[in-house]
Amino acid sequence: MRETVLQARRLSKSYGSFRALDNVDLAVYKGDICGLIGRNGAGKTTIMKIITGLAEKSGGEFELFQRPGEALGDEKRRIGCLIENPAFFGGLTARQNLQYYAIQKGIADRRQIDRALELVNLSDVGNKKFRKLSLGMKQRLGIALALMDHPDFVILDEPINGLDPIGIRELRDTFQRLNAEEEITFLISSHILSELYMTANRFLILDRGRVLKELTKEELDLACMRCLAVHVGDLKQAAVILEQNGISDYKVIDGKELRVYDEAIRPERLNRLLMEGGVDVSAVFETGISLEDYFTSLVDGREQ
Amino acid sequence: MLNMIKADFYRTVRSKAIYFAVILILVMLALDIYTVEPGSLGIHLSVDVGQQAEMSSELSQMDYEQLRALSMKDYRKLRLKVTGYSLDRDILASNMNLYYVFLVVAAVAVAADFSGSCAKNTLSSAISRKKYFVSKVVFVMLVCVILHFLNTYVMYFGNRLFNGGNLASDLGSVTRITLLQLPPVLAMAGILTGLAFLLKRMAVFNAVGIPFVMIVQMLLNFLRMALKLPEEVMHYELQTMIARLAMDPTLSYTLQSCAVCGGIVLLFGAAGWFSFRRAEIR
Repeated sequence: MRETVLQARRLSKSYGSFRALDNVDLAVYKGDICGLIGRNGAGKTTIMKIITGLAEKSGGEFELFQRPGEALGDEKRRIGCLIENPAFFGGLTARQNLQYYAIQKGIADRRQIDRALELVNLSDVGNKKFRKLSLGMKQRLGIALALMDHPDFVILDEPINGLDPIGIRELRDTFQRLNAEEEITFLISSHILSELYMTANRFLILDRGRVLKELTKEELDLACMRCLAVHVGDLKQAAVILEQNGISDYKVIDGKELRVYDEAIRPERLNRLLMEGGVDVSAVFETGISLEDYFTSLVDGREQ
Repeated sequence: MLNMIKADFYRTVRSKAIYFAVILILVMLALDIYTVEPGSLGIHLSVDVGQQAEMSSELSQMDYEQLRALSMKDYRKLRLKVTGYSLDRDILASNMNLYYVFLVVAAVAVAADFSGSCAKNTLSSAISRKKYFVSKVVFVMLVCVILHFLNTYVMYFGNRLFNGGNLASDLGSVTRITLLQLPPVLAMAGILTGLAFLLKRMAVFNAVGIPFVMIVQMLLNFLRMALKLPEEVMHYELQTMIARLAMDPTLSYTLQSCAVCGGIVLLFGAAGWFSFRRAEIR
């Protein structure tokens, strides 16, 4: 069984009558780069604020590093985070800002500041005042703070906001390298699906304070892959017919639908094979959608 | 917690505001020392607790209009002739002006943290809320005490240097007064820290913090008159305590002031803590 870094059960948060989180269950496992996908107001930032102690939960519970979240105490140092916009002291330089937080955390090795700046390509502007940095640089400094002190779990809220395409790619590589080499677990939120898809290996799709779907990258690929979907009366018999005809690249989706991923199979041939085998076919259609469409279909499905 | 305090020192000495505060102290002292008369700036003493100085004949014979017509230089010359008067003690009695310097400290240490959203960096991955709160309170009090002592000794040596020993007390006396004034100094720091945690946003903190002591004075005065309370009630108002503690207070008054100031610190500490304890950090 995989070690959980974050486990939330029936987590809720209300602001007056507005329910920002509604009984959310989620788990982030050690070594994950977990993408939190959702529209604005879906509850991504609220989840992050609760688990980092910036907001109080209204109900439910959560564990960080297998300990109750509220009782974390000094183990908070194992977390690095950037929630909402990067916030630093405008009159201090980038390096002085990191130095301030390094002193706070009791980091004796000041080389960690240089390393953090290097990781986000800010070494050259370390002596520039925060207020004079560009939006992208400010964002990177926020990420540098999150990565300082070798955290075990990094929580990043919309980290690529304001970054240029090259900066985005560099950061993606940095996250993946830190994940692979230092086993840092990431929880990253974004509404830029394509970017999150390229970075993360697990996804949590949120909408209106609820987790709609939790899936791995493979499952997401499968869900979005081009294929033939067929609705049949007898799934077991249909599977036997497909196997008899040498078609093994298929997957049973639910009680009536299976999907065939073999690109050589045409819909009319699939229909004929099943009909001749005595299986009732109510629909055969080509499917496979983009990430955006998949996300939209999930959200729309919930709305309907 | 010690790391938090160290970090705040690191940041504070790199902030322009603290130098502004120190310059403010120096300017106030320079004017007090030059004019040989304290309290002509900021909040004046609300009750007459000043020394009964034996005024020089020239000054005591002048009326208000004649005094107003004097240049600062001439006024200084006449004031220097006053005998039986300790300028340093009088300056310490008007230490309520330090409230505005302390306000800068609380603004830099606490309100700026919330206003600029930097508190979230600390609270999300470095320290618990309780430790954060306690370390901020300790830090503000510590800096206020340092500034209070700085104010005393700059004033003491400045006065001796520019005005000579005629108008000065001995070092032991001013140190004793400075120590006696610690409870109201800590109370001022407590009020400001409590307000900063309660109000969080810099603009609101300044809007409330700046007139706060004056409003409290007015309210106390109003209540005293409306409820026909004894005059002594006003002796336990901050500005009066600062002044009275500089003028050889009785032991009982000193202890009562300590108790009142302790109560103020607890009251504002509780208000700040309960407002901060569960607040969402933005």
